[in-house]
Amino acid sequence: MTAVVSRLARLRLSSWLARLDFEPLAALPLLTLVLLLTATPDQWYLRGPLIALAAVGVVNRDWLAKPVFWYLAATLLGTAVYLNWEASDNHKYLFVYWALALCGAFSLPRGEQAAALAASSRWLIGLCMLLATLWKLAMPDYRDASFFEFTLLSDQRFAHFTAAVTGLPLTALAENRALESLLREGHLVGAAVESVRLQSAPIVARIAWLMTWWTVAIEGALAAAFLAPDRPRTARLRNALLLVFGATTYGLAPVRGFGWMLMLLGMAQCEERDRAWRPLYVAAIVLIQLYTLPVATVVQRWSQG
Amino acid sequence: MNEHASESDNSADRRLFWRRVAIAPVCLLLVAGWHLLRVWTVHQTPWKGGGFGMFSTVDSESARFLRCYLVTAEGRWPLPAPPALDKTVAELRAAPTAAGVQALAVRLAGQPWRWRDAREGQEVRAIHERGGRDVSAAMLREARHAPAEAAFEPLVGSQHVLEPLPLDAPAAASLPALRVEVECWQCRFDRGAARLAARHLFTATAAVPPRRHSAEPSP
Repeated sequence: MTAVVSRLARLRLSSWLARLDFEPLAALPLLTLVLLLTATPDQWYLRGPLIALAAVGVVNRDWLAKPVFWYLAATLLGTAVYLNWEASDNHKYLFVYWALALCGAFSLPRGEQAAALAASSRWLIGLCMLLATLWKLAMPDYRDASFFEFTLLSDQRFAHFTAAVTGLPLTALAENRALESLLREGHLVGAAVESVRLQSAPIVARIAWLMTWWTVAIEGALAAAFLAPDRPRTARLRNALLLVFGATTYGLAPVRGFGWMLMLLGMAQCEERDRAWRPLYVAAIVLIQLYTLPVATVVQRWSQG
Repeated sequence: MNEHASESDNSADRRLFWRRVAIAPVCLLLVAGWHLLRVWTVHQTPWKGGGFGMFSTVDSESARFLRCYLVTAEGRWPLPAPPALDKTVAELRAAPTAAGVQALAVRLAGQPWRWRDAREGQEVRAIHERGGRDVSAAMLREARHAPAEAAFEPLVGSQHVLEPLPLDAPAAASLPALRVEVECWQCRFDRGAARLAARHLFTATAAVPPRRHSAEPSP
């Protein structure tokens, strides 16, 4: 009886998963458009053409499989990054490379497109993670955990996490941010400040140390897994690692654009044998979007009455 | 013969395939290499520039900042960089260079300045003179372009801060200034003491062009 129930459950699960299965070459361009439209450049001269291009792509879906479409998208995104390098985050560069990867893949015969996109995506994730790891290991203030200690004490995006795990009150963290701002802008009110002392607690250093080496470990492991030759066992490891990275990192540092981009690349690098992982990447995209909801603030206000 | 031709076609197809696959990763490596060079040579922050150095150091662009001052015969006054220079300031914070800071000092020195509360005081006085009736843009323009007064009453809700004067405004409306000083600073975090300290990188000075010294109304 138990065996029958378990078999039925397995059947139901597999049919449910089969329903979630999708054709990546059809879904990825559309998901990319959603990402680009929700992270368009601030500059009017780039936002207008990019939105127009996306609208054309949505109306004429065939165009989404044409290399010229993605060449134009890469040109627009690349121009935005080139003209605004001082403000462009690294995931904006990744958008450009992704558009170029789509352009390159769609310029090949139909039968080779998915494989080309998978290979490009693996290299992009691997190189991005390798560089991120090398930069972290190269910086002395990262290696001694100063970076995460400073971030926990003064970065607003980490404030609720810091308060929850260290017991430092949110007001103390807000005062830290005010002190940091005084250091930079105090001279405007006639008070040029040389240094400030932030409020901290002994546990902050321990949490910072853990975050420092966890980040290096997972980013380094991702680099190794994605740059290693493609084998079924490696594929399972890299999919699991990337999903764990997405689920843990973007809950703390809600950089939605980067998270989405990595999950799209993760979805694209899944070969046919890994198709069961693809819906999990969609779920991760939804999760990263949910992380941007101000849940902690709502809970805090609610608990304060 | 046919076998050779087919093998050669196959090999050409494989080469084309890998060339297309490599386009994006090669671009990533080229940009990252350029970024590394810029970090090494012009002190660009690892956070910005496409090298994927985010979350790797305290030394992000927000850890670098500028302090600008207008020096007059009466003293040294803090100068907020006008919004028109936001991009220049952001570029200098991302990659501060002595030449860039000097160029900013020259631009700020070429700009006439006035006290915001002095300008608002002149406008308020003109409004009071009219009893608050028939206030027009021309009347306010005339009031704000009147010669700057050395002493003025503090105004409720106003801020004693320098603001840029339109370049076509009469020179007399501007504050007589001698030079502009721009200092570039960087934050350092000492984890043992949880202390954030500002470290001076360099200072640039630019003399205010002579026409701005004049307190006479322009013809």
